[in-house]
Formats: sequence, C-alpha cells, structure tokens
Amino acid sequence: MRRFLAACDAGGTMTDVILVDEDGRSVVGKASTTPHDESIGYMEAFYEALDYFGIPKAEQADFGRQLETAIYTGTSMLNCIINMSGYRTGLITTRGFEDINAQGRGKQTFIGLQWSEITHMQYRRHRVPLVPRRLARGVTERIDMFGKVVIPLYEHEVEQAARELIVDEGCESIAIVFLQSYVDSRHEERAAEIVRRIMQEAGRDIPIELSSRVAPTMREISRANSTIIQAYASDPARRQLFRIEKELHKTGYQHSLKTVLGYGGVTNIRYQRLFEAAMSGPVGGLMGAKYLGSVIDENNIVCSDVGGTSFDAGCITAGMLPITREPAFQDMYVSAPMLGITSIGAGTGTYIRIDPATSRIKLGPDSAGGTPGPTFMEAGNTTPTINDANLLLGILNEKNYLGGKVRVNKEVSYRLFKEKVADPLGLDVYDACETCIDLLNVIMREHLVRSLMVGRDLRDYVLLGYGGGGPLHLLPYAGDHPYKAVITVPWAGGFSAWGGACMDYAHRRHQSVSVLVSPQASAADRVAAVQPVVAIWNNLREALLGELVAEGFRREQISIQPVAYVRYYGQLEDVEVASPVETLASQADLDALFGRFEENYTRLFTLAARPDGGTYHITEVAVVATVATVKPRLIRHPLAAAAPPPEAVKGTRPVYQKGHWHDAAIYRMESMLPGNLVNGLAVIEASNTTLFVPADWQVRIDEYNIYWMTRKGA
Amino acid sequence: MARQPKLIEQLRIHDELFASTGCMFGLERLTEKERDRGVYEAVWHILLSICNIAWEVGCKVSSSPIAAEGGDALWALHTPTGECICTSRGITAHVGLLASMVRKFIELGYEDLPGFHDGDIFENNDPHYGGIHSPDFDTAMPIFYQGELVAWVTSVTHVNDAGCVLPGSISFMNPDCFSDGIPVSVEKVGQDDRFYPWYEARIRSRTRTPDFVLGDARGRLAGCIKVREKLTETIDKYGLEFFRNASREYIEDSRRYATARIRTQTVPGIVRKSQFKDLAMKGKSVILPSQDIDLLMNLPMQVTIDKNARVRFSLEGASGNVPFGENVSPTALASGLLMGYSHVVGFDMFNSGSTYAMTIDPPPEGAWCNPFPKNYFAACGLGWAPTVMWLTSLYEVTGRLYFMRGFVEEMSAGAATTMSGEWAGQNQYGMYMVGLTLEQASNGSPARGIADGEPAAWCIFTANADYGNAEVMELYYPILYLGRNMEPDSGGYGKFRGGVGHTAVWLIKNTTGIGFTAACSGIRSMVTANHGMYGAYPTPPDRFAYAAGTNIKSLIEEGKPLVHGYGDPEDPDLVRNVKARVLEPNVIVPYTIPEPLHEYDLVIDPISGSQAMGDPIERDVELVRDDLDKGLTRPWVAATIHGVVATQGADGNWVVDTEATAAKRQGIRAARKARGVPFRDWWEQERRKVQGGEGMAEAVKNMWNSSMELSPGYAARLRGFWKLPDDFVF
Repeated sequence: MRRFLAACDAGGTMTDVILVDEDGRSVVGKASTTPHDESIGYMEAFYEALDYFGIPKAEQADFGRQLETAIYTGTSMLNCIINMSGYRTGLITTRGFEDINAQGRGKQTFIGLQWSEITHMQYRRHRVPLVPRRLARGVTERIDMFGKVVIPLYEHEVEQAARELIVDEGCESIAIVFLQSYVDSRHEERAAEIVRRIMQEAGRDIPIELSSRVAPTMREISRANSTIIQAYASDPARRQLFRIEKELHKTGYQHSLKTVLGYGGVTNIRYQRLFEAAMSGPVGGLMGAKYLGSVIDENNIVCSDVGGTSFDAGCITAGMLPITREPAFQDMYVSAPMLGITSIGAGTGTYIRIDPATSRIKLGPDSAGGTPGPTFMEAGNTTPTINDANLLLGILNEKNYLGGKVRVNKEVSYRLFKEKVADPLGLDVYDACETCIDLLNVIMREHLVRSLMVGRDLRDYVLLGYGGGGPLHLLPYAGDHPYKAVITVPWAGGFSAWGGACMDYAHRRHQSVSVLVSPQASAADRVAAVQPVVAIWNNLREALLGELVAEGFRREQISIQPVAYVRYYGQLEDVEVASPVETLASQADLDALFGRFEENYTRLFTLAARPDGGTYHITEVAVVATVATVKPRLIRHPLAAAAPPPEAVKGTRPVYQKGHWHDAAIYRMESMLPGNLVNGLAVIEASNTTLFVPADWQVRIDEYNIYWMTRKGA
Repeated sequence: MARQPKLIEQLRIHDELFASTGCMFGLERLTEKERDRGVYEAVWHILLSICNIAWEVGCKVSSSPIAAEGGDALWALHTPTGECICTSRGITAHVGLLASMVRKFIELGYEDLPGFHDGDIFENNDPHYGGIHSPDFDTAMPIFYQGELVAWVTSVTHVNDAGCVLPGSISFMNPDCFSDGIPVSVEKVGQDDRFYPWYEARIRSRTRTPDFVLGDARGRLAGCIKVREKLTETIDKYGLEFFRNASREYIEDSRRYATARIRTQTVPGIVRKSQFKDLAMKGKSVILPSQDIDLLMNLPMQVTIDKNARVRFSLEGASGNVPFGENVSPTALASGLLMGYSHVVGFDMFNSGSTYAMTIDPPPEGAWCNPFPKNYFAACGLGWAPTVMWLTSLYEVTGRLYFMRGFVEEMSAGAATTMSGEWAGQNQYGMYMVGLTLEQASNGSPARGIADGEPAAWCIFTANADYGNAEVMELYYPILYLGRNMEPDSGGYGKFRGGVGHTAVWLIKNTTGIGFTAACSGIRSMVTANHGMYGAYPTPPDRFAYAAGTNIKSLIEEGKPLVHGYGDPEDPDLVRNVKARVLEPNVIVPYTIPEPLHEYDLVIDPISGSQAMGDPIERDVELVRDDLDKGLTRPWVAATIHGVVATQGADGNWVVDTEATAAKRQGIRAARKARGVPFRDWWEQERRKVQGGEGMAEAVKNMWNSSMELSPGYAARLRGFWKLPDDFVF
C-alpha cells in the first residue's frame, strides 16, 4: 500500500490540500474555504486532490488508511476572532488595568498602514476588544520586577471577581493576567486556584488561562492579548479541527490531525497552547523552503510568497529562521514566537489608482482579494488590478485563469484600465500596464531588501518564489540584485501547503530573564551571573521533553537548541543568538555565546553601532525541541534533453515588453521535464500558477524538478 | 557631467528660482516624472526604503526608551543644499529643523572651513542655530559620489538628559539659554564615521547619563551610515543625473500636492483661531526669584488662503518671550507646522516641498516664537510646549475649512496636548537615572466629523503614538504601576467626543529617592487648549496629584483599598483612601515636586483626551448608553450635559428612556434660548469688563499688553473690535 501525506493550507478565500506520495509526487486540490465548518472545504479539496492523483472514486472513501500524516495550517482561529465567535471570556487582571484589552495601545491602531496613512489621524481605529469592559475585573496585587511581592493578592477580590464573571455573567472561559507575572507567577497561580474553586462550586467546568503559562515574557499588553486569544479562541478553533479529524477518520485515517505552530513545527491539535497556531498561515512556505534548501544544499534562502492580496517574505540564514516574539495579529500585538515573516499589501489583486492631485500611481495597499479585478465581470469590481495589467500584456492567459475554471473578459479590463489608469497618466494602455507592474515589482524588491537583508549580502542567498503569483513576478522582482540564484518549483501554487508537510515536530518555549554580564567582571563572576539563564534553559528543556515524551516520542529522538536574546545594556532591542554551546559553565562557553552575539550585532547594525566594552544584557531565553518527521521526498529524476517535449509546447503568444509586442513561447508546466531549458521570452503555464520568463532570462529544470533561473550569458 | 557650483551659490540660485517661478528649483515641469513614471515612482519607493532601513537599525541601537520603545527618532535624506527629499517614519516634526541645519552649515561657510568630506559627522542642538531644544540632537553627514557631494543624510533622537540646570530633557524651568544644557552649536563632531574623543568627553562631562546619550549618538550614526551605503547603490543603478533631477522633482511634487489639497478641499479666505497657554508658577519651587510669577501666553493662529491656494500663516498678536524654557525659534516653529500639516493635510511624499506651499510671516520680534531679536538669552529647554499648543489650532482651522467644502470625514477637532512626566534619581539598580515616561506619547485622538476619537491613539508630536508597556517602564524606573485605565469624560462633550485620555498611577518603590517633574508638553492646567468645535464643551483640565510620606504600606498590610485612578473629581480616591505628610490632589502643572519621593509615595498622572465636536445634546443616545455601559461617561454627565434619561438595570446595563430624553433635550434647548441675550447686549457687557479690567488677573492683562506692544496691527484690531481708545492698554 502506497503511503501519503496530506497537508492543508486553509486561507481566507481558498483551502488547498496537497497530497504527496512516498515518491515525492504531489498534487494540489482546491476548494472554497468554509469558515462555518471548515471540514466541508477541507474534504472537498481533499477529494479533488485524490482525483488529480488519479485515485479511483471507489478507493477514495477509505483512502484515509493510506495517509501517514494529515496536517492543518490555516485560519480556524483567525476566523473565530474575525467573526467574534469565540468564548464569552472574562478577564481578571491587576487592579487599575481593567482596560488593558479595550484601550490596547496606540501602536495597535496603525498595524499594516503605510506611513502616509499613519500620519493621517482620521484612519485611527481600535479593534473591537475580545473582552468587553464589563467582563474585566481588577484585583489588588503587585509583584515588582525582581519578583518581590509588594502588594499581596487581595484574595477576597479574586473571589468576588470570579463569582461575578462565572456565575453572574456566565463566562465560558477566564483569562488571568497580572503585571510582572512572567517574573513570578504565584499570584496568578493562587488566583487560578480561587477561580477554580468558585467554578466548581457553581458546577461549571471552563478553561482558565494564566498569562504566566501561556506566554511568560515581558510586555503585559501583548501577554494579555495572547492569554485572551488562548481563552477566547483556542477551544472553538479546536472544535473545527476535531471536525476535520472526524471526517478524516471516517475515511480510515488512523492518527491524530496535526496543526502547524507559528514558529514552524507541527503538533497534535490537542496541544495546550493552541494560540501559537493562530499565526501559522505563512509559516508553511518558509518551512517548505527550509526543507527544500536542505535537499539542494542551500542554507541561505530568501523566501517570497506572492498571493492575491499580500507579499510575504522571510529569510533563512545558515539554515535558521529568525523568530519574532511580538508579532501583530488581528490588530493586536501578541507574545508568541513566530517565524520572522514580513508582509506588505502587494499582490496580483492589488488595486491600481491614479491620484487626481498629482497624477501619481497608487498601488493598493488594498486589493480585490479573491475576485481580482474587472476580469471577473460578475464580481462587479471596476477598479483595475495588477492582474488586469498582466492579462492585457499577454503574460496571463485569458483561457487558463485558475486552470481555465474562471472566465475572463479582457475587453472590460482594457476599457477600465484605459479609462482609470492609462488616460489619466497620458499613456498608452500597454505602456501603463507595464509601468504599474514594474512599480509593483520594485516595491516587492525593496520590501525584501529592507525587511530581510539589512546586514546581509545578497550574493550569499538564493531567492525562492512561490504562491499563486510568485512565479509570475519572481524574475522581475529579483531584478538585477545579485542573488546567488533564483528558483521556483512547479508546485509553487500549493507550496505553503506542501511546506506544512515538511516540518519537524517541534515545541518551543520562551521566558524572560534579566542578566547583566560586565566585561570588567572576573571570569568567575561572569559565569556566576549567567547561571539564571542556565537554570531556565534546564527548566524549559525538561518541560519540553516532558511534553514531547507525553506525546509519544522517545527522549533520544528529541533535539534541543538553547537560544538567548542579548543586547548591550541600555538598549531596548535585542538580538537572537542560537547558543553554540549547550550550557554556560565556563569562560569559554560565555565567549562562544557573546562572540556569536557580537558577530550578529555588527552584521545587523554596523561596526559604528558597537559600544566599546559594553555590558551584555540577556533579556530572554528560549529552548526549541524538535523531533524529525517523515517528509515528502524530492525524487531525483534522470535529465531529459534541453528542448521541452512536444506535449509541453503550446505555441506562441504576443507579450508586450519594454514598449513592444514580442512573440513569447508558451509552455505547459505539467509536461515539462527535468533537464529542459527554456529561454525567455517565455511563459510556462500551470493550472495554479504562471512562470513568466523575461527576454534576458533562461530557465533550467534540475533533476529534482526545481526551476533555476539565470540571466542569459551569466 | 558639468561640475556643480559651490553649495552657497546653489542656494542662492534655488532661492531666486523659487522666487521667480513659484516652483522649487524653478521646476515648472517635472521632466523625469514625465519621462518615465514607473522609474520615478520606483526610485521614490527605494529612497523611502533606504530611510526606513536606517530607522530600523538606528532605533534598535539607540538607548533611550523614548527612541527605542517610543520611536521618537528620524532619519532623512536631503539634497546637497539641504532640502529634505524623503524621511523615515518617526518624529517628522524635525524635518524642517534638519533641512535648515544643513542650510546653516552652508551659509556659515563650512564648505570652505572645515570643508565637507566623506565620513564627516556634523551636529546641532542649539536653538540659536535652528535647533528646537537641547535634548534633540540633530546629526548630519554628507554623502559623496565619485568625489562630489550629492546628498546629506540627517537624523535626530531625543536623549534623556541634556545637561540642563535641572535633570532631564523637558526643561521648562530653565530661565535662560545658559541653563539650557550642553550646546552642540552647528559643529563638526567626528570624521571617518567616528565621533571625536573630545565630543564623547564633553558628553561624559556635561550630561547626567552619558552612556545613554552616547548610545543614542551611535544609533543616529549607524542609521546614517546605512543610508549612505544604500544611496550609493541606488545612484550606481539609476545614475547621478537622474537622482539629482528626480530628488528635486519629489520635493516640487510634494509642494504641488499640498497646494492641490488646499485648492480642492478648502475655500479661500482668512481663519483666525485663538489659543492661550498658562504658565502658572507663582508660589512654586523655581530656579530664580524672577520666575515666581503667573504667566499667560497668547498663541494666535491666522491662516490666509488666497485664490491660488497659497497658504500664509501669521502669529500676529503672539505675546512676549517668557523667563522659562518655553520659547521657540521661528525655524523650529515652522518645522513643527510642517508636521502638523502632514496630520491634517496629508502627504504621500513627506519632505520639504510642503514647506514651500505655505509661508509663515516673521513672528513679532521678541515674542515667544521669535525671542532672540529682543532677548538673545531666552531659554528654549522645552520649546515644544508652546509649539504643539499652537499647532493644535491647525486641526480646528482645517476642520472648519474642510467642513465648508463638504469633506466632513476629514474634519477633526483640536488634538490633545498634554503634560509629560520625568523621573530623576536613584533607580532600582542603585544607579542614577533620568528619563521620560512614555505615557504622554499616547493621547485620545480628536473627535472626527463622523465619529468619536479613539483612546490612546494619537500624539500631536509623533504619529507613532504609543505608550508602550508598563513593564518596560518598570524596567527603567523605580516605580510600580497601580493603574493605567481610561479616564471617564476626558474627551470633552459633544455630538462626537474626543478619544478619552488615561490616568497612570505610580507607586514609588526600590529607591532611596527619586524626583518627579510634571512638565509641560502643552499643558492645559488653568486654560484648556481648544474648546471643542461647533458647540462642543471642552475637556476638563489636567491636574496631577501626588502624596509623600504616605500610609500606603499600612493600607497594604491591612488589605485596605488603595488608589488606582483619579476617581470622582468631587471625592478623589487619593484623598479618600490615603493619609500622607504631603497630599496634593489637584496640582496645577507644570510642577516639579520640591522633594525627592520615597518608597510608598504615590504619583497620579493624567494623560489628556482630545476635544469633541458638535452639540452634546445631539449625541446619539446609543453612544451615550454605550459610554455609560463602559464607564466612559458618568451618569450625571449623561443626564445634564447630553440630556439623556437613562437608568441602570439590575444586570448593570443602562437603558435609555427615548421619549423622556427627547423631552429633556427640548427643555435644554428652551433653557438655552431663555438665557440667551442679543449679541449687542453681550458685547456691551463684555466691553465694560474689558475696559475696566474687571475680574481680570494680572497675567491676563500682561499678556494682552504684551501682544499689543509687539503687534501694533493686532492691537489696532483688538481696540477696534471693542471700540476702545487708541492708547488703551489693559
């Protein structure tokens, strides 16, 4: 019996299920996402993938028996928050901070806005709080930053708060968030005991979430947001995942459904801190890229994902993905480790407008989302998009849009583009199209450089493009930047889902600490100073080993990576340092850790930014525990001739480039073979993506079916 | 490529071209833009990206919480003659200052001596040379390409101690410029990308927290170096000629955009807006005996828009300079105005261009906004204070203009100005520490023409409005937050209210003594800045409170109620719950607590909300009910100011009696009508008061007399309105 992996990427619009067999072959099934019951969309995409794989209908009903692993990445928790359909959550917090969720912070009112919008006061909006003010209760208590109790917990106030929230207000979950609880959690733990007693007295059984357990790191607003999301959305989201698991079990699937965590790892959907999966959407792509890099022996990869609405980017350096610890999620900052992914509102559906005051081109940042532009007559959009421009230039095939599933009206595109873009610019329609696409490509290129490549040398990095629009824009946004190589894959349209199948099983925990190490201190004093770090590493290591062993892994399967976050004393931003040593027992260990820090710091911030003899400040530590999993294999194929086979050749089509029409060679991606070589100007079409090869580029397909693009003559 | 003329000559040519054509650099056509719109836009995005790389790098390297956590920093790219091409995100109020600083280097002949070289570092923080106040260190580096100076990169960060006579960086108390702290007066402070050792030595010698000040200097420098590296790559790619042309066009394009916005969204004419600022210092702890006075400052704004959409600002009537650090140079004022313009007019391309879309008449010589011609020793330690207060008028002025053209969604009532808190003393690590809280960087935002303002969402001096996390502040200062909740009814009263402010409560802990100053970032303690628009009532004043020598430790041991907010103004929590050797529940700010605070002392710091818009009895009853449910308005306010009849049910929810509310509101209207008098009667009553100085404080009389003395035209208008004799003085 052949074994398969099924990985899903449920986006806001579409759900992709990628099916991979043990030979590494893969197909992608797509269906509309069904937020009210995600199992419907999931199973529809699942069965479509089975069809693509040629699984006979008769075998589909019990196909689950052949599934080794099923992984979910997606928006179940996001939908719960967008729709405000989570639990009625009560908040018990330090007295005087009852507004912590409703008031939020200013920075949360301009997440994702451009600077010109940030400076314009009219745009400011707070999101609707997940905990309304009337469900927030303050209790008197305070612990200081050293962990010393200054005001003991007023337990009678906790009792009253719990009674009001659980009995009077009928809350379905409770979040407990006290200041400085990341340093010392005793007040939160004691409050939880009281709440639990009141709950039991009331005959209720509801989740009680403590910030010191959910996210024991500094910054109470983000910690509160994390704890509230966990209390509000994790159980309702888990119910969605159970539905999918149940449907899979009906097909004979015998294991648990797995989900993807924001920091790039899979875990059982019964995982306690499920809020860490809330931001898993773009993670699959990065983890897929990391795995792909391991196959082709490339450790430095710039990952770029072009969708309809956004351009997501991440960067793998020396095989490591940076972690951001306070990402933005649904207009909130949260304390949750997440892969460092930066996004801008730029995609194939990005709207194009002309500012009437200055005749300047404005791209987005909003977009037509799942119905990109007037190409869809029935959708009613009348604002041109980037996709219109690609269509009008002949780069996109009007008969192959989403594999030909969607009817496209090129005439409407032309008329609206002329009226709303070309004429106001005083340009020919096709020149206007080219200008807009070029501008989008520059914006994407600059986003990569600004958000990822500060302090890094592009010549050390391979640029990988994926997402439905990735191959379409990849070479133009690679531009003339001196990347080591530019690559994509035929399954770029379902790459994020594929990436979900490429992850190790992983758990990660962070904890704040404050340790100062003065270079002037004696070696013995320095080693003594860092022992709190070692103690936390040991605690976290044991906790993670315990979690993974409880999930059925053997200790010897588990790899451990200690991490420290270091800055020079006085700064507020730190640098992530994957510790090159397992513990800090000697001066040599410290030299190794701080040597790595100084190397990273100087690369990021220039030599001029380095103080002479600065004191090191370790502010947070983390431990990552991973278990290697079975991943989709990339099969090494024999190389065919350079010329694509006849069935791959679709003919030619006029494509407008640099002010003139040229005949571009058109190819069918599904029929291309390893070893084929294609010279630009060419378009290689698949059902879920289109690779555009400008005239000065060529494409070579290697033995793993990876497309390598180089400039002609390079 | 032809060699460029000397910079001083280029400056002269640019000025002449602008004067003769009305266009920056004489650019009546934007040829690079016309030639290739795509490349023009693309390079703009690249330059923007370059500045933002610097911001990300520089803020991370900087040391002050206000830079790193609050983003109070900026990097900008300039033409060789100093006009700003584009900026990073950050505190855009400084753009004009940075541009004028570069211009000043050229005007002072620095091109010849000491000369401009690759890797040179120049700085200024001196108001006499265009700085705003000493803690804002402005840095500039020339950028060379193939041996030619092709651009400047500049940066500013706010350091936490400027070496003033009193600790800190918001030194309102300075009596003169000699107490304004460490001056760096348009100086070369380094070369070859390194600061001179004597520059570092001076900072170590003359600031209280030199490691932090130098950390910020390194942040500015690191960001500038990043800009230089990336700009060189860009010029390699697009060519020097294109960069030179396009960078000028971006500036002219921005000027045109600002003019277009004014032309299409406002109407020609004159708008005048009064604004006053109190500085009530009598009886307080001050530095010099001459400062033991109460002052009122006149901050008038007159905006004239002509038929060509040219905008002219005037401060005619501004009162005289003050013996405190609350004066500002015209250069700094203009720079602040540029930022205000970006808030209410809005820009895609934020640079020097809009500066040239408007003009500011030279303020009266000797006024608070142009002190040096008559008092060269005037102090500017907190020049921002009157500047932002003046600037907040711009919101209401443009709001009225937008309303006239029907752009209701662009209207906003006056923005909050606020006090800022500063600590100085021994921190919890046993080290000396001085620094600002971040609370003041996040006010309620103004009421809009279509909606309420938002809480903790706006700050007039930085669009990066954010107060950060309390736990970060506790990392820096020996305090424990006991509260940070929204303050009910702090957003004024109107059809749409302003975003409410909040109240921070701090318990002093883990120190042997720390000082606190509730300084002035545009306080409204005696006089409220703005009054709300179109019938709204103003926000209450901001009064801070403190207690020293308290019984809080005993209260804690006994499990008794503490203080977590201000509470009912008629019965403040501090007074109700706490006993103390010194207990001041209603301090008129600005104010420096005259003694160090110790463990278990308490400070209550109110952070302002913004103003409201429209008649409060037109407020949607559902909004009133919602505010009652959320505790954002008090029942008596709902009843008497909004005219809403509501009752609270057993479940805690409020229910509005719609019919009774309609009747009550009708009654309020009738009562207003009954107490109204014809304008002429009112005018005659008021005229008698004016003429006799009836009930008028000395500070008020002094202000009017000062305004009239410095601005004869204003005096004539004032006397004319009240029909007073030509020699009338208050």
